[in-house]
Amino acid sequence: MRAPSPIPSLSLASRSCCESIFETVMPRTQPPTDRQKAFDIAIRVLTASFGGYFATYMAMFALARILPLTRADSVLLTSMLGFLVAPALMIWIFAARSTGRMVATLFLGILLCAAAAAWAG
Amino acid sequence: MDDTFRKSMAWVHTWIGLFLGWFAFLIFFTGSLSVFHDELNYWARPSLHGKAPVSRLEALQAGEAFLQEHAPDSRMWRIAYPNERYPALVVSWEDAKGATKDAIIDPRSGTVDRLETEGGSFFVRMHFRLHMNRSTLPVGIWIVVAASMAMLLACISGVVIHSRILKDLFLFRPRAGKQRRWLDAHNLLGVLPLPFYLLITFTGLVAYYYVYLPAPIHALYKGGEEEFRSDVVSLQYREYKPDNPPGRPAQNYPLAKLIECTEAVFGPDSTNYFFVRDPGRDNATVEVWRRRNDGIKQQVYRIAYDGVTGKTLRVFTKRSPILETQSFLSGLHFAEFGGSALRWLYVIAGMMGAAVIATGTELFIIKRKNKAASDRSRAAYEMIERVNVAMVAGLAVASAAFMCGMRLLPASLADRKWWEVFVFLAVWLASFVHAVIRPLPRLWREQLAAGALAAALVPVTAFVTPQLALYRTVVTGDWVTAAVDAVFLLWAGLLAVLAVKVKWQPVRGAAARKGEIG
Repeated sequence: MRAPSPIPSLSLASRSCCESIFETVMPRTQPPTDRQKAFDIAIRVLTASFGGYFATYMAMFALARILPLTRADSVLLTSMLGFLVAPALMIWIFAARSTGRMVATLFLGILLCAAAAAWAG
Repeated sequence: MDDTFRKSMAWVHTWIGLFLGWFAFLIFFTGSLSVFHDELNYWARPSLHGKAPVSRLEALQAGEAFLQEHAPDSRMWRIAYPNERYPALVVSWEDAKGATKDAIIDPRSGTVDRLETEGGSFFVRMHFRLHMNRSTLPVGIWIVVAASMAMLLACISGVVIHSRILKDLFLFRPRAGKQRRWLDAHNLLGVLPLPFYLLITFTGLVAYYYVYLPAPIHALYKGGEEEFRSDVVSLQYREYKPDNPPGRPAQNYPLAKLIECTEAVFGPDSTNYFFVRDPGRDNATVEVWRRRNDGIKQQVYRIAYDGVTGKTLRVFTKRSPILETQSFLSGLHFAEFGGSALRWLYVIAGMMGAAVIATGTELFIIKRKNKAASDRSRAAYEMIERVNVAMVAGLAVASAAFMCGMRLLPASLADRKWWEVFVFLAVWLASFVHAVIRPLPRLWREQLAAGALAAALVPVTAFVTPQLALYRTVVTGDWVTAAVDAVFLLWAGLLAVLAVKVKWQPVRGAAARKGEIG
């Protein structure tokens, strides 16, 4: 067993990534199996890569239509906001405590944005 | 700070760094080189050197004469004067098929500079789209977006991890164990210019918003980007519809006179481009653009004139605060303001960004390699380490080799631009091959030494065109060329120092895993 490092950040980052994320997101009576951990990580990564961008896309799509500005102004403003929303969304995708709830919320959000876009378009 | 949040951010920081770190490194490195792209373009074209400066009037008239002779029936002309950063007269026109052609003209003689070269623009294209054409290979754009998002996430997650930022900032222990050294270097490089990294990444995305996040355009414009662009343009200027037929031939108002009208509105010495639509026809219009390098905003101010009578059709007065915000953010990225001093700050900060990523990947490799449970996983990390050397040091070698190639390739070579790119890619590929076949302890030293050699060669290639040799350019006052050569010499020196000082230590088996890892 290595002596604990005096730098907390070092010891944090050197912990197994899977353990640290999984413990916090799916509280269970038994420790998560390796397969469950891998599955959770995979879901998060896929969601962040595709879902995050797609959710931003849908949100900006809807926002562009809803904003009461000229078309060109609306495009510019939503684009700039989009680049702020996208990283925030991805942080949330990884930081959310429950993977299942996160995916469900994201999905619901995308549906809502699609509905809003259709209503406003 | 919440412990679970911190743990998830530590995970994000590590894995994002691994997958997209190398692309982000490429973007920062080529981006730093792109800051001086105009100067590198000038360096690459020997025919521009040693020419006495011409007045704008002479340049304009020479450009107009050239276009009259070579593209009299074109529907679009563009004339860009020489300016302080790029003293070349550039004319463009649309050919019969609608493609844009351009040429660099010597204003005195009217001859065309026929040298085909990528110039400094190579680094720009590499930087924002990995040199892949958007219409044929959009994957370059996607990778750049992904890497930019990754950079933003890495910065944010990095801040979350290091809640002891201020204390870590002043911690640099070069005599400590190897892993600590890399970590401290990574922290130092990461914290000091952090605002720059966040700003440059965000503004980079904002600058090409219509490419990187086209959602709003798809939402509001059925005609897509084309329709959007003509809408934004017509926000300010007279609407130009390309499917209007050209009018009948008519004598056009002399362009030179429009300079005075424009400068009466925009101020002295403020004109930059002339755009002429349907030149030589009775429906000709001329737009005179204001230069953009005296302010941060990248917004183009123009005046549109009737091409036959010279009457002012429209002056840009309507302002959209949102457009101005976007062009301000975009301007922060391109750094066309502030002169060379500011550009140097951008280069240094950009190189620090590249270094923070490189130290990050190295840190990942060292930590994992030292903890590797089996020989097979250690071998895997060693392969990653080899690739890391080739990605980081190899890129430096390839960039310098590209610069040499621009001067050394024969001027009349067909498809010369592609050969220049080929030189870059071939040298980079060679560094990968070198990284795989050479023993690991020697890799960094050899590749950095190769980089130093290639960079030192850059000023030497001037002897192919003797008037550009460093001693001559200093004497004749051609400061731009002299500066490029001098900078590459300094860069060679820096790489040589690094090559000498780098000490690679192998993992000494199980004994090394106990106690201090160094």
